[in-house]
Amino acid sequence: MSEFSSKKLLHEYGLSITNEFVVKNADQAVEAAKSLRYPVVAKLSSAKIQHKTELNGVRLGIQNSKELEVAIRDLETIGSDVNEFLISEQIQGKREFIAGYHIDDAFGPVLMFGLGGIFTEILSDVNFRLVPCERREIENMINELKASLLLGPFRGEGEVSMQHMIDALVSIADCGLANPEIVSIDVNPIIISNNKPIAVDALVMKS
Amino acid sequence: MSGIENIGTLFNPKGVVVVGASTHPGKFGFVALHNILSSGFTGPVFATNPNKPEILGIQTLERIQDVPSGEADFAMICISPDKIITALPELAKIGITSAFVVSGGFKETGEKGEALEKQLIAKAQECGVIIAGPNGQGLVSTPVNLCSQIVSPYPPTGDISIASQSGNILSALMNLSRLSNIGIARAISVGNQGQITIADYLDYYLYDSETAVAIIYVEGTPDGRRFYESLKSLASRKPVIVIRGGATESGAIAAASHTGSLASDFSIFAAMVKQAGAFLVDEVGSAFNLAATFSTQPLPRGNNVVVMTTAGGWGVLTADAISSTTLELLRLPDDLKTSIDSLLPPRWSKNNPVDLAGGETRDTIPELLSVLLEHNSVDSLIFLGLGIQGNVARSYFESSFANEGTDRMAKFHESQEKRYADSIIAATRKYRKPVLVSSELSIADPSNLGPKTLRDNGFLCYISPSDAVQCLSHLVNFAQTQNR
Repeated sequence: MSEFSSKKLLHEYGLSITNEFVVKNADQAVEAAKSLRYPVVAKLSSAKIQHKTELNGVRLGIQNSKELEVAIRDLETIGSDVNEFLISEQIQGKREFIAGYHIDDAFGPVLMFGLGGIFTEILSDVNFRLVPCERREIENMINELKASLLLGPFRGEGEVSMQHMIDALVSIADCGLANPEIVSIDVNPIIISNNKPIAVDALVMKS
Repeated sequence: MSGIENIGTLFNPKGVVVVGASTHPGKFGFVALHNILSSGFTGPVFATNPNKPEILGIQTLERIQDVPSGEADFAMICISPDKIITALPELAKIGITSAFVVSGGFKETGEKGEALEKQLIAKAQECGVIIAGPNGQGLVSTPVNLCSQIVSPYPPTGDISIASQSGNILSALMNLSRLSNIGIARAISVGNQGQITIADYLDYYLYDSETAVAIIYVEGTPDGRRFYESLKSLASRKPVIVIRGGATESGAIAAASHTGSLASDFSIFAAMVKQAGAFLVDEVGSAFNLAATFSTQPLPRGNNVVVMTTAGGWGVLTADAISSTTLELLRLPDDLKTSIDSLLPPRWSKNNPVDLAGGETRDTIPELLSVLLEHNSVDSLIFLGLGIQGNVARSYFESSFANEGTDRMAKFHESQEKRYADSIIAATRKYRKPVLVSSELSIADPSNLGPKTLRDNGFLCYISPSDAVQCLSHLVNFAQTQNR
């Protein structure tokens, strides 16, 4: 599934996502951006493109309509099959997490949560729970992480409500469990903005 | 539950047949019969051998059908793998309902063996016989004095039960049981788990009144979800300690998925054990000590611990170890300080750890133990320094300068050590609060009357205080889940 439809699906289960639109060209992009607030983000959008960053298909910090036009024209040069773009609000926040869901060969549906951002792989501060499970177990999953300390007040940003974090993770698990054809969900990153978790990018994969 | 119903007959047979008994003390068929007879199994024991020799005072029988029908319901099978399938209907006919297949040559050898194992299980199901193993060392069940295994040892009686995917780890745990005199109820080497899996044994231990604590050793869990459900059910009622082999094996990675690449087999397994409420331990000795703790100590009401020590340095290290757990080193209430003041000279630490600083006289230790444990704010106690006087006694007894005076002092030291240990045991029972004792003398000098008295009474003497702290911390965690 494309990033756009992945996030839309997750939103149906209660996950907070970025405001965004899929557009075909620069004119539509500028029109769409009117209902967002600058800065915005422009990305390649297609179910076929899963590694936008590797293709250099993401433009961050676009400040006005002029910059947006330039960005879209630039993205159009990446390939001949590029014909859709995702325009979304740019979420500001210092704290990034990663969440996911997959069907494990031995244990079945598993929910993941951990530290996001550039240190995700190297620190591997991630935790798991078999789902479905009680909310208390999801709280334990969060609290067992070293990164759970980031949910307290952090560098001028406020404390994150544990209930909001649990809600976000429950919505990912619910989405996976309700759709048996889903084999994995990556939500990366989840950024804490105004003390609430927002899914900035997501990828749902079906069998 | 998809489990096997009548596992109980494996562990509580009314009579046993050793199929393939041998006259040669080096053969499995001899060792198994020897162990069953020497452990003093409570029911009748039969053995088959085509040449009908007398072995260990038992007249062996030529054929399975020569065993009187209905006398035995469990078979210990030591014959070659190809012969077992034809033996099963004959075993069913004489009333066998469960069997342990020691023999190898099945799934562990490759495709051909795997096919043979499938045939074996299919035949067993057709005949109504449940099969433990194949390719395992056997089982132990102390409530009926049964040591049906092809290796040693036979452990003392107790309430710890084990299921292990490795025979050696099973033996190691039972060796530690013998060393510490903290006993075992059931123990099984699960072998290839052709029919009965570790999850089935967990289900059995849940309802088995002889089992209070379980230890399992697992390397792989093909039916992981079922395993989780069984583990969770058991762990909600009885403490379960899990040792996992193959922790570094990298998991199958779901391509292109970030979640998959961060999810190794072990990280999911470790999280699953926590979610089930069991304890994951990475070392056999720690696993046994934790099980022994659950087996011998009452559950504490809270996490406030007092350290009582006659050895300063050990007290400091113990306090350090406590600070990295959920245990709380109790700040001594004023009334408790006043009570301690009345028992000790002023140089005692005035703090927790309660360091006696050599201020104890003849009756101080038993009295102080009572004063501490009696107090409402104390939930548990760690005792350090047991065996120090007994160590002096030993060197006096062994000394080339030994005389009437040193002998008299040595005997006094010894009687004091015994008193300390006796008072620890009595206080644990009277106040129903955990008292964990650590002293390296429990292995450095096993005859030292302090640790020896604990051991003789089935209490664990920990070798290091950090081990005692870990065990106590898990005891508190389990107690909290039981109160929820």
